[in-house]
Amino acid sequence: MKKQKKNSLCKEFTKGIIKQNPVLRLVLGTCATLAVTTSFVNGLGMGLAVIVVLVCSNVVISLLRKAIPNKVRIPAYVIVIAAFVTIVQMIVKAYVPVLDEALGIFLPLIVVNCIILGRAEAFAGKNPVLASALDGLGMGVGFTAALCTMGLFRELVGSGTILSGIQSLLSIFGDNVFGGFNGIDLYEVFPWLEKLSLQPITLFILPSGGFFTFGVLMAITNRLAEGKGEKKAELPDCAACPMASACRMKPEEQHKEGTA
Amino acid sequence: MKFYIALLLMGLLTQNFILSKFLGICPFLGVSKKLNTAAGMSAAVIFVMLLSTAVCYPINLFLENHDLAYLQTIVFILVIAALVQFLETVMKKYMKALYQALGIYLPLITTNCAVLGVVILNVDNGYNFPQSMVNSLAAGLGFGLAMILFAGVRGRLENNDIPKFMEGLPVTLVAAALVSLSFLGFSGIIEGMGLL
Amino acid sequence: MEKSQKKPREGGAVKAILLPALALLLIAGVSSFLLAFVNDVTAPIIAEREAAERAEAMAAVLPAAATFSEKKTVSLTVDGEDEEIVYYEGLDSTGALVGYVFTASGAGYGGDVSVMTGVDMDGVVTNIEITGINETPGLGMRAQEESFLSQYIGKSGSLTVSKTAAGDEIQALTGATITSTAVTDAVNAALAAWQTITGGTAA
Repeated sequence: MKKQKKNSLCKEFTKGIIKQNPVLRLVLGTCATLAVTTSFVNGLGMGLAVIVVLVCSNVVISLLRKAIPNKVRIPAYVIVIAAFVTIVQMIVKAYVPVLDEALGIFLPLIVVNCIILGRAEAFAGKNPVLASALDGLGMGVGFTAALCTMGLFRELVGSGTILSGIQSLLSIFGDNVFGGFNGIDLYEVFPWLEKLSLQPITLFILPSGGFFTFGVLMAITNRLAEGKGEKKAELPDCAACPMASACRMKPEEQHKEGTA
Repeated sequence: MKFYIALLLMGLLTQNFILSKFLGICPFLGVSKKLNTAAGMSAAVIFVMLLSTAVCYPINLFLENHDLAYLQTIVFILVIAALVQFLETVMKKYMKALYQALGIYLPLITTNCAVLGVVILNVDNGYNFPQSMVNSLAAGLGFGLAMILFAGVRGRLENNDIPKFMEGLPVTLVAAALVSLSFLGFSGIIEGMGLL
Repeated sequence: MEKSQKKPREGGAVKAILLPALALLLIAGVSSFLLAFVNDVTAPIIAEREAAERAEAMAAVLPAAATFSEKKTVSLTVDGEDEEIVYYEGLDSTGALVGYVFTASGAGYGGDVSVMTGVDMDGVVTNIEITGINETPGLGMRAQEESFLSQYIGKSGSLTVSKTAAGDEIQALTGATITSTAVTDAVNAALAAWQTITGGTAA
């Protein structure tokens, strides 16, 4: 009995990382995914911010799930999420200002990230605290993993650097962690790249490159998922949409047309 | 005057909300399958953007004057949510035709990052009231332009043979990449007209 | 989620309206209280950090100065509009005036680009630093690169931007002329402010 419970808790955590990866499988939070993945560090920073907000809001919402009247649960969730987002925003501003500048408007916009409201509505509002926390952590880690993958690729191809600016995140742990490691500039390590006039493909860190990279990554995950007998990732359908209960679109349209 | 034209052109072309700022991607991918739904969604977004900006501007002044700027995010999202709810109720009761056309999209707009995004951007950029309103209009029109253009692109995609592994979402995203790339071609327009 | 959730309807029982409203009010109240607390803790840290960053930037753009004066302002007319420019006087270790640091901004795509400009006693730019920018990554954001910023060192008078950069002109960033112009506008405003303050003309 106990073991079974442990297993199911473990599942709450792992499902968000691969099987129900919020970005690549559920196609949620696309705005942030596309916008901040111009470098690995930005993706990681955004991911960490989302993990904090997601876990905290999931825990609080799960604790309050019996106290919040059903009628006003969406606005109540929004207030809780917005409060945590603002707290994260203030902490980032105080301790990692570089990240605040890099993420810009997308830091406050975590409020409307569908993943967070979606998890509140689909999971935390109905499940006990520990399971909700693990669910949030798993989803957050899955989100971060997807962002880091995209950021790593776009940065490598688009600016010819790897993990550039990582020290700004590491500086939370002290000065000059890992000997002040601040990423690798391929053009410094391999000077012959310049001689061959091999320039980085700037297009990949431009908006257009974001769409392209995401499309290719999605094709790869779809292929992998199909190999395992899973469905292809579809545009978010109503099951994932936190606003589904308020939505009055025609049913036949509703099937394909999803969240805002 | 020059600045207002610059704001309009930026919102529509060079700094398009969807194609360059990545705000409102979910409806862009989700509701752009048919031209009429794309147009309906765009109209609803423009309407809500203008209204939220008009309401949030004085509220923000109040917050800033009372050293409460840290409450911006929470207040803005609540104002937008309440506004959308109120609008839906009023429309449903008194404007049946308009409700049929726009109302069904309203609940989806609450969590649309483009609406909250434009309100926060107006504050961050320190625009005054007329500038904020023009910027919101431009952002909304840009959103609409991208939605409607992309609905056309997707219509063409439907009738083509697509490699199996790219079918569905991947090819849609690659098409969006091409539309975004084509908008890059406008980047000289503001400078060429000497507007900024 | 499949359950049909009814929106609040008008004319319901008092309890049905009052209770949810009270719950919302309570959550909002607790949240605001929490935010006020965190703000109280972080606001001084943020202010301190900003001050430290400003001091660092000031030292970088006017290396000759050991200390800086308090904030001062000068008003001048740029493009027919009155602008207030904030500046600091740079003093060396003996207390002699060695130059000025100006903070000015120019209009870019993503709002204002703020630039800190160091100008020596001859009206020559000693260095510049970008203190606030929100432009397109890969295009306008490259204005922060050393290779672009170093172009301004040693320039004086009124600067112009061009794509081909002949002679004394500033070479615009590829695909980001607006951002390049924004930075140059800010530097020009600083140089104009220098003239207003010292009354002199650049060497």
